[in-house]
Amino acid sequence: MKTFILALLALPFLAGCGIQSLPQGKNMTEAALAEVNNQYKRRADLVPNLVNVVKGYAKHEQETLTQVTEARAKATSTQIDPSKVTPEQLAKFQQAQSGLSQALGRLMVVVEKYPDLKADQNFRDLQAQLEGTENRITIARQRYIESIREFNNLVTVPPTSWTNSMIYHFEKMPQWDMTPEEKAQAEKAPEVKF
Amino acid sequence: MRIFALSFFLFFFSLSFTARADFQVPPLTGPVIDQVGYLTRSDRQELMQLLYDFNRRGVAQVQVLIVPDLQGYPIEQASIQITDKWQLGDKKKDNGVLFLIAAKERAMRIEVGQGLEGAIPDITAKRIISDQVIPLFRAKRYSAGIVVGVHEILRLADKEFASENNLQEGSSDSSGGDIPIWVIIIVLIIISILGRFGGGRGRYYRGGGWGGGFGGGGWSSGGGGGWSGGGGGFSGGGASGNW
Repeated sequence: MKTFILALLALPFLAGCGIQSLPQGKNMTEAALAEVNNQYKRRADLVPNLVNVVKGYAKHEQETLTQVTEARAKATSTQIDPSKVTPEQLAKFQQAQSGLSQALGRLMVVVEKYPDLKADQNFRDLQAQLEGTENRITIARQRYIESIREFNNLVTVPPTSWTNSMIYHFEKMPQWDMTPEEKAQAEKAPEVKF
Repeated sequence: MRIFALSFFLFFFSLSFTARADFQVPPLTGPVIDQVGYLTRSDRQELMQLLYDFNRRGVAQVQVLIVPDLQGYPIEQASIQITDKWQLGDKKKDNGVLFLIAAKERAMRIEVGQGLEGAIPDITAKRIISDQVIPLFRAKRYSAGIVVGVHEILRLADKEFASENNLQEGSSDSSGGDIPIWVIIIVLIIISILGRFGGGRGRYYRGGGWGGGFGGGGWSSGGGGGWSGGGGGFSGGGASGNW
């Protein structure tokens, strides 16, 4: 009886030392990664419509359009499972997605040559959706990075790290890095902050 | 000893919240914050009234913020940092909207809370900005542009709100939802009675951890005269534009 009461009294103190926050932190990182995945999928869903609209106006850009379609196929075939993802899988996933980002970037440069296309209401809507999705991807990635940082803090910083080494034995998670291409891009445009 | 331990935990707890250098978010003082002076006095009054009213009715918490510059950040970054800090909208409904305007960059953005992304999709936000607000801004009719933009946001949010409520009225009789308050009250009464008649054990129950669980949730919904975020979440929905 006495130990029970002691345990009850100790509960508020345990709450501060990671017995809850460690698994919660783990779940947060998984949810954040699922959101990243979700937003990338949303972008991939937009691409076929975009390609169709551009095709109608810019028949001479077949090569760029094929590249976009291929990059999309690659991006959608590289799937991840947020609850048990390895760093290698993540790197592969990220590479496929940034391949699609670049192909889309090239397409948007090409589009500048076609004023009729730019004036098309359908295209403008798709462009707005694409912009919105890219922004959501950026934010989802930031939140994923932030959730990993918080989780790693729980794993490595006392007192929660003691709880971890006693009970959970979670590993520190590798931080999500930018791909080399993205790094080059970020250095080119220093006003873009991640 | 206990105080020492507690302060120790609190210290580490606070460490985990230290953030990096970010966009300096101004304090949330009211539904319309105009640091530039784009709004006329009467428009400002009217918008304040309208936004308070819509928030009180639970339709949406729409915020207007006009800043002189974006401190070097892209408008999407500044806007998500502001909404992360202010947490506009209800915690359950996520019905916050931020209408951000930056004078120096000549940029504006409508940031839509997660719960309103269906009522105001990105395309619609983009159209509000490029078809309704920006033409007025280009003609230097800033105040009118802002009023038109806010009215459009409120109209869309209200439409969604109305249709949701009509749907709910039909099924409200059968839906259970949360545990009713009276059940909680009865449980509390039973606990207190058991504690009183349980002899020596009751002392422990009354002195122990029972009371701690309640009251932590908080009931602040920002009603009445106050204006504060209700915990609404944002995930980057909305659109931006330049004039």
